[in-house]
Amino acid sequence: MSLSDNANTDPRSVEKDEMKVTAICIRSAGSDLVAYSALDTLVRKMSFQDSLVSLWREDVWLLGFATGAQDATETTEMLVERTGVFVNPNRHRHEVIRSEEKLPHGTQRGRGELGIVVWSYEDPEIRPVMVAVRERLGVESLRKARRLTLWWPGFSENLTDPDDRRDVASSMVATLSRAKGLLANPHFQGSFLLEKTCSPAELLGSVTEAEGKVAVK
Amino acid sequence: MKPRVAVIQFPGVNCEYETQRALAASGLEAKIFRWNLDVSRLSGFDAFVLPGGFSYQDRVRAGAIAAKDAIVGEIATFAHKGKPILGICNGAQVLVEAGLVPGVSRGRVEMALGPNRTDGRSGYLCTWTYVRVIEPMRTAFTCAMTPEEIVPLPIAHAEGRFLTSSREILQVLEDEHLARLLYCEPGGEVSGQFPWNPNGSILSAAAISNREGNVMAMMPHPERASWLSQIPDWIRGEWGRAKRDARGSIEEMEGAGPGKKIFDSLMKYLA
Repeated sequence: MSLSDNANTDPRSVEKDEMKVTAICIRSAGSDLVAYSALDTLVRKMSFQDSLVSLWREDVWLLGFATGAQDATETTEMLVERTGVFVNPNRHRHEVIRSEEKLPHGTQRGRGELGIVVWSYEDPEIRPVMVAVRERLGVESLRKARRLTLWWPGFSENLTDPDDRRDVASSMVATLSRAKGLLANPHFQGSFLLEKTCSPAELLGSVTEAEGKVAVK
Repeated sequence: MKPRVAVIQFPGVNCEYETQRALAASGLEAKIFRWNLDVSRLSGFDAFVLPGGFSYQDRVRAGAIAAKDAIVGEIATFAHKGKPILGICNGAQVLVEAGLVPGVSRGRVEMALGPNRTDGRSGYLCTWTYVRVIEPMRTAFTCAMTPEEIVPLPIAHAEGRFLTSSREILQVLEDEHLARLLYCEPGGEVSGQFPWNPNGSILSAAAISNREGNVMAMMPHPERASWLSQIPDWIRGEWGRAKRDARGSIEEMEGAGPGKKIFDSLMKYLA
């Protein structure tokens, strides 16, 4: 099975299609127990007690719209505010990132200079979302959808060297053994460090590039 | 003295008591062992079962957090010494995330139990499957079964798809027949197609063991098929017939179901 089996979501066509890509960043409205459990595991059960002090998480939906369609940001905001497909207002806080804006955007708590992007190569959520948005809600301009998790580690004060921080962040990610990595299983999940701001389209492009290097069996 | 089996109770599992009951029905002395008890007490057990459920609420990824618990490190030590370890459903996910299955390179996480995906279908699935037993004498959990035996077993999972990104590991799994239970059609033909292969697993694997056969990760729930009364009437083959024939008799309904053979195998192995 190849990555392109994700119908309607083949990210390799992003560049040539020149879509407008927006992003929805979603956080838990209350305590994020997933992030808390991950932090607890990294600090208490693994070897990050001296380097890690906090860990925040947000889900990011990247939505690619046909360029000739109605304003992508307005459509994204409509999907967020008038449907329950992406955001449950009782559980989530969100912000919409316009196609010309950069991620990370704003001053959400926990966001730092170094993020960790994790996603599943074959995300089972994407197809039903595409069907719901395109067929039931009639937003046929939506061409691609991709869901990522963006983790924001908070480092201890004595870990000031950017290279050291990068090493710590890297070692938190790919699960290679019981002792190494937690946030992604490289056999079905991709990951990379987000070290600079980027547009939603650039983020989607980075995912595309990373996926091009692997093949899931 | 009966062989002693520890059923590991992580926070969030929900099959520990029925697993204990099924083990006891096969003549084993099964104890529920909480994940945060003193791990030195594990040495008094002959085998370990990681039951199904949702350890740590499947946070981060199914089985990922439990795999980091100290008790799993201790169990890994016992696994390397040859003690039998069985992971059922969420327990299988823990074993895979801990690198115990397939365990080709000791300690390395060599595969995953990813989200179900087959023929465009995805998501949680609760249904009955048929599995074919491959080389039963090579694992502690199939040694009481017969070669090519077909066994109906239920599944209930959203992340049960064995997969690997390593061609080398895939080759080892194929060459050494480490996939010990294969999803099949009711007649026994191994199938990669839905609904026979319900989750898109590579090699149609329902269970994968390590090379030594003492550690096995299986997605179906044998404890939910350990008594005839648990088998649906419509199951095809001998087990469905047996169930239909047992109607009207409580004694016959309390007879052995197909899943009991997994625990009978463990008993045979330990006895």
